[in-house]
Amino acid sequence: MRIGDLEVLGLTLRQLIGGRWAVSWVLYLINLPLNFLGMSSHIVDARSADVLPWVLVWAIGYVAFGVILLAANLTVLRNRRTTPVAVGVVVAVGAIAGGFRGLTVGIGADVAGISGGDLSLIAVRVITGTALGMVLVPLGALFLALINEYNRQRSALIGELTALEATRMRAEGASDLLRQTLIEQLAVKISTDSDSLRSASHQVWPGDSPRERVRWGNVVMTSLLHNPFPGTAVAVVWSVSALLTLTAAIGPVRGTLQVAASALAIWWIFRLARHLMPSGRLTGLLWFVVVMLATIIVTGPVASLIFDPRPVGSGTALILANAFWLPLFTILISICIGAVRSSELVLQNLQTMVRKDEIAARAAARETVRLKREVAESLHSLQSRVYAARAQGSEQAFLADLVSDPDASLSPEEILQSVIDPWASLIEIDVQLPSTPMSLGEARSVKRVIQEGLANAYRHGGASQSSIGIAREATALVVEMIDNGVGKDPHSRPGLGSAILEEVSDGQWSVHTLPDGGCLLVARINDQLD
Amino acid sequence: MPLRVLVVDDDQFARTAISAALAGQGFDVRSTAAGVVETMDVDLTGIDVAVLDLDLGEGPNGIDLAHALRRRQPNVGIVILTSFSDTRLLASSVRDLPPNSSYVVKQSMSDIGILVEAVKATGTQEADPATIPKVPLTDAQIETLRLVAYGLSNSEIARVRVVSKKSVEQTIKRATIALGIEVSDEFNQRVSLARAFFSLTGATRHTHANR
Repeated sequence: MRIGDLEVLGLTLRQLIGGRWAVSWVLYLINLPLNFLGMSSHIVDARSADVLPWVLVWAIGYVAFGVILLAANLTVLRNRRTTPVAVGVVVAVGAIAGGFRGLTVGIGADVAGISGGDLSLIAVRVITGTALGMVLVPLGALFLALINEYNRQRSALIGELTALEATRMRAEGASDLLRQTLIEQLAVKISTDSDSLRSASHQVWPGDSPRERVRWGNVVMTSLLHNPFPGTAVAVVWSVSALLTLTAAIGPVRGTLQVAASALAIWWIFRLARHLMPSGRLTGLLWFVVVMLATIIVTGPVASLIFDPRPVGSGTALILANAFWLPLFTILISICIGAVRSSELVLQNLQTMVRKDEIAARAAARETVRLKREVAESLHSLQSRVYAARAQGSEQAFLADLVSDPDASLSPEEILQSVIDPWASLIEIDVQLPSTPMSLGEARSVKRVIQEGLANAYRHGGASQSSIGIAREATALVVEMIDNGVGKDPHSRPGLGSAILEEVSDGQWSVHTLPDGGCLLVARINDQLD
Repeated sequence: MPLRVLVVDDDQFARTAISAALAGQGFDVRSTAAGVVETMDVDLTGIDVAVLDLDLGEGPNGIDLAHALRRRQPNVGIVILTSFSDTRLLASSVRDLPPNSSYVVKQSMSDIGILVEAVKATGTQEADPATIPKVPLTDAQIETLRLVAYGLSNSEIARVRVVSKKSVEQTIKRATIALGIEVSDEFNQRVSLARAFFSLTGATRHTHANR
């Protein structure tokens, strides 16, 4: 199995490291302080006349680093958003970028005459730059991708919980109260005044739904609490970064000794710290700060006293650098290790951090937005109907109503159901559907027959039961409706009802009174349209 | 004890507004429903008065529902709250209201007091059926006007109603006079008739007659 296929948080390392976050501008930005700290020891140690050249060399190095990243972005990493590149590619880009920076700084310092003429320093800078780049760039990409993925999963969870809570609000009637409050606030009278309806509609129309904020703090906190103080990894990465500074300042032997001793100290302090880790959030954070301070003092002033031959105080740059590097490495590695080792635990913890009252507030906000839209749309449609009726004459408005077909999105069965359901609350109905499926056109025609038949059965026949049979014959659908009412109304005059039956059946319909008093309606539907 | 009320209207906005208004007048709005199916699921034992919209969309109308409610709960008071000035305007086959019902037309409801009185009257079995309005048009005139408003020509109307074209022309002429519409070159007579029809259904307030 290749390393890129390892899965973390449901994504492969290839997707995480070689995806959209590989060498993103955020990563470049993070490198700014790192780069500065790498240079800071030279600035502190330098004669005042050399400070400006060092800053310039540092800036050129940073640009050189960026140039490689930009070049990678335009070539090998161009399509990484859609197709993640191999982890090795990102490592290579990091190595080249770091190495190129080391080369630029080394040559730059030599040209500026501030390196003390030691050409071997260029080689050291290239090697450490390469080493740092190949570790930090993939690690940074992984870090950004993980934070992003944690947040995505947490947002999805909050979204689900909020939707659930909103459903509960609707089921328990809380939404109705909310709607009522909204309408009371509006203080709109039911009127047919177009202008007041429109202004009320605009008044109530809500802005966008509240958006999910990215919570980096939560991810960092959770990872720190669950995978605190990864001593070995921090010691290794820290050593790589410190080696350059120290060997350049106090020579290779003393430098290596100091780095080795400090790395051992880091490893041991972290081990102890993990052992004594308190469980609370706040105490955990305090403990992190205390341990970091202790590590910085041990690896900075204490180590300098033992190994650094220079006067006390020249190690300030190292303290500064450690104060930055150590917490950063610890957080970064802790998140990465946490994601690999116990992502489910971290996610679980993120879930428990989602507070109930927060969900309730979100659900209420979401429901408010939905209800406001609903009320505003209701007002607006009322307004536009009133407006259309007034401005264009009533016929137009009426036609507009005819054009908007309420059955447009329904299936043939649903179309029939839409007319049978309301009547079925008032009288008993049984329906026999045809053996082969109906077309939409047929269903619409059958629906009109059923509506007329049921209205007549209930209103004039006083029926309590109706039996509807829809059968397919050679070229037509035959609808037969039998009810238990008083039979055909002898006084009925031809009107819209009969005109509808006439139209949908093309004249092939009839009504009879049955021997036992009920009514039989037969209509043949010949649908040629679809 | 305040009267316990059920409000049925298929428009959610209207339903909530009416409920809020009635609750504000001291009634106990027990339930609301959007349509026939929901209404028939309501437990009626705790309901004194049902306030029903006349036009509930497809299927049974408010009066059909009123009869069904009365069968289940013989003492329940019925208030039809509607924009239709006359039940016959809704459809050609509308039944009479059951006894002890009130009929309130939204447009003529100058203040909430009219609805309050109607609910109280039916709630105490004192509704006066004479308050149910009738527009000064015959059934035939209303049916003809409906078809005019649908956009049918006189000969189409004659075919649908199975009468002669001359009879349709006569009916339209009488309806025009009954509605007080002046025949002039300024307005098309059929459009004026259609507007008058929709005005009576509550679809618009602005008609030729009251301009």
